[in-house]
Amino acid sequence: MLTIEHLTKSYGDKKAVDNLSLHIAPGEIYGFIGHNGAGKTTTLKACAGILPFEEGQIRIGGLDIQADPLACKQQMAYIPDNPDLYEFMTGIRFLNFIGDVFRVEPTVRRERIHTYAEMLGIEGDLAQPISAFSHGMKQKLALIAAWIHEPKLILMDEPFVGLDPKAAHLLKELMHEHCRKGGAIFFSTHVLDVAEKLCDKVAIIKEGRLVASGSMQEVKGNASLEDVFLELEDDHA
Amino acid sequence: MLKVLLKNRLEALLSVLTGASRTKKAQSKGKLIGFAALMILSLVSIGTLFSRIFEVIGPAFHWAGLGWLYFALAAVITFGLMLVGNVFVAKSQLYEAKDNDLLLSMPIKPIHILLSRLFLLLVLAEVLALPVVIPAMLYWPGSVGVPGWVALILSFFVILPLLNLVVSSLLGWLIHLASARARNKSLITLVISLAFLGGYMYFSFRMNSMLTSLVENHEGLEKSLGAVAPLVWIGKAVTQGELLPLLLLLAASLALGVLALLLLSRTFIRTATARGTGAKKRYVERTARAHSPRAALLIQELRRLWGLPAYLLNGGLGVFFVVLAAVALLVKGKALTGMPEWPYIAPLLQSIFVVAACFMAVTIILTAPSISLEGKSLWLPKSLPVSSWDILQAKLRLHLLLAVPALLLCSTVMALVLGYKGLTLVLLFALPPAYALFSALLGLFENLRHPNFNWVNETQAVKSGASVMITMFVGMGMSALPVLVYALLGDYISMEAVGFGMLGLLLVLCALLYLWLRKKGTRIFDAL
Repeated sequence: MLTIEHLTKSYGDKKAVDNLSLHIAPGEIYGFIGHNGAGKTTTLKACAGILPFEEGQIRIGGLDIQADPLACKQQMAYIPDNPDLYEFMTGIRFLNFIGDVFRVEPTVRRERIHTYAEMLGIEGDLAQPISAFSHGMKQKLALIAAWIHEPKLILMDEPFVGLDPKAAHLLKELMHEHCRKGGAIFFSTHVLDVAEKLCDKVAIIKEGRLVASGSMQEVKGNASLEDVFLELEDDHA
Repeated sequence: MLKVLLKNRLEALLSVLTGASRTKKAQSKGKLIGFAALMILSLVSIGTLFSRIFEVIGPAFHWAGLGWLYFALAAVITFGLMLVGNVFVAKSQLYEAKDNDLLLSMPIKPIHILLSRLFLLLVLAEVLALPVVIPAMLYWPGSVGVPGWVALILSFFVILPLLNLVVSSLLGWLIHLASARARNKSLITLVISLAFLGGYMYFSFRMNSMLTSLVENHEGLEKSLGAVAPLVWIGKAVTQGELLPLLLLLAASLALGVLALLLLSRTFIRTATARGTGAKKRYVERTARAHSPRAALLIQELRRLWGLPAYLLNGGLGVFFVVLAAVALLVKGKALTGMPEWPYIAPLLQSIFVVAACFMAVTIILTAPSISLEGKSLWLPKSLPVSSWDILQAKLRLHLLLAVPALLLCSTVMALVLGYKGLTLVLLFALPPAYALFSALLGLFENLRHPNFNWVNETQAVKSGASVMITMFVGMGMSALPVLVYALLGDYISMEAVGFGMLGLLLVLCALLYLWLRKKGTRIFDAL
């Protein structure tokens, strides 16, 4: 579903991501772990087609993100760490805008909005301007926008930040459901407990380089993910 | 702590004035000079407008011995300009600044936050005094002694900014309260802004008749102005050096300032942290109409325009003026046909109106801040399955969709009222839309070269961006170009020929800008 090969992205002289390769198969929830500034967001943004990069290749469903960005974007959704949405729109207008861009049939769109908004508890707020939404509500709206066109791949940057415990629980269920249907999820997180319980596979990045990746069992063995992460951080210091 | 905040405010102001807020990199010397030159040019343009008034009334008032009235009028104009310029800045800086929450969470006294923001408003008011005071002094034929200069500086750079600070802060507070409670904030802000602007324009248009009436009735004027004695005091202090009443006025202004500060500091936290108390609108589920991705992008741009009062007012006000001009022409246009009594103007009347329509076309500036306005949500369009060209095109289409029909309406009314025929008729319908297209393409070109995503409120992106100023000045220059060419070569070439030459030049420039946007512009947008 998502193949990253030798990805390198620099900001001036600094290499934010250095020769990173990963493969995420359909049905997988893939966690991406690293300290602040390790290169997680840069990698995710490059996969989402937001950031151009100098070296390497990213393929979504076999298509090259740089050669065919629109076809790639059509099959995926991206949720940033800070859901800066169009504050001048109401929640429902924003969702309809996303529905229009992804060409989701109005009746299907209505049904999905109803389902997800009711599940996340913001259905009654959809007529409000987004500027009146709290951080958590914006995060929920971004989740609905991501799920509205049933993408094959969902990229999420710190998706649990700002969500209340119930919404966080619902998001985990949504992620499992999405992967059961054959979709894939690649997300970054600092919450190692969540990653350990939720992910099928995990990658650890440090200073732009991949220091470990594989199935959860392969990476952590009998230790906890937290111990392995801290150990790898020290080893590569 | 106050010192740190004041330094921070000054740095913010300087970064806006020098364009340094647009980029994380340090500004080059050349760019700094360029931005400073643009700012000075803006002030000079405003000053030129006022200098026309002072040039006429200066000698007349001096001859009539009405020096005090001349400076009292300068004070009224200065105060009006400060008010129009500062009320909405006060509203956004004091109550809607996005860093209010951050500052309030720090160990800083709220009154210090308030004082630092008021300081910024005070400096802005002083800057706005310059384009009135300088021409007023330049065109005053009388002599002003040392006490007069002291009075002038005290009046225009201390007392008036202080009084303006009080009035602007209180009006800004009231507007913020009204719009926070309203369901349609944009509409409220728009109506209030238009009321302000309308009042100021009414005053400006009636200036001549008011001045004539003032001179004719000057004997009883001083007595009747007793009700607004400060104006008499300012006028007399500058021309006659009577400083005592002015010092009393200074003391009163300071007292008013302290009173306003106390009032604002009592309500600052509550007002700055209020999150809209308007009635909550319930969502009623219904099936939406589907649109194509391109149409969806255009609708989103329209919603942004309607949803951001600062954008609507600064960028779209030109559309309102074009329609207003069409209506005014329809109602009062017949009077213009009786203008042949101006022998030099009459043969060129139709061409002058075409130039006026072109000038109005370039005052519509919607694309120039449109990329900056994406701000922190720039990730959103870039993550969607639409091309960068589609995104840029939506911004262009918004501009043309609003500007061209309004201009064509105005041209139709002009054609009907003034009886255009032949080549001038062709120019009437072709040139203004060509200017609108040029302004739209140039705005986008400039905004791609000078994007500013580091704004704390939309007003900054809309008002102070280099792209906005460059687009405005280049557009105005281009609209003045045919007049200049005709003034120089009028003996050899007809106005129609100049018009068609201009049309050709505009179309070539538009084609070049279009090609640049299509190729390099989309690449720059991808890399933002």
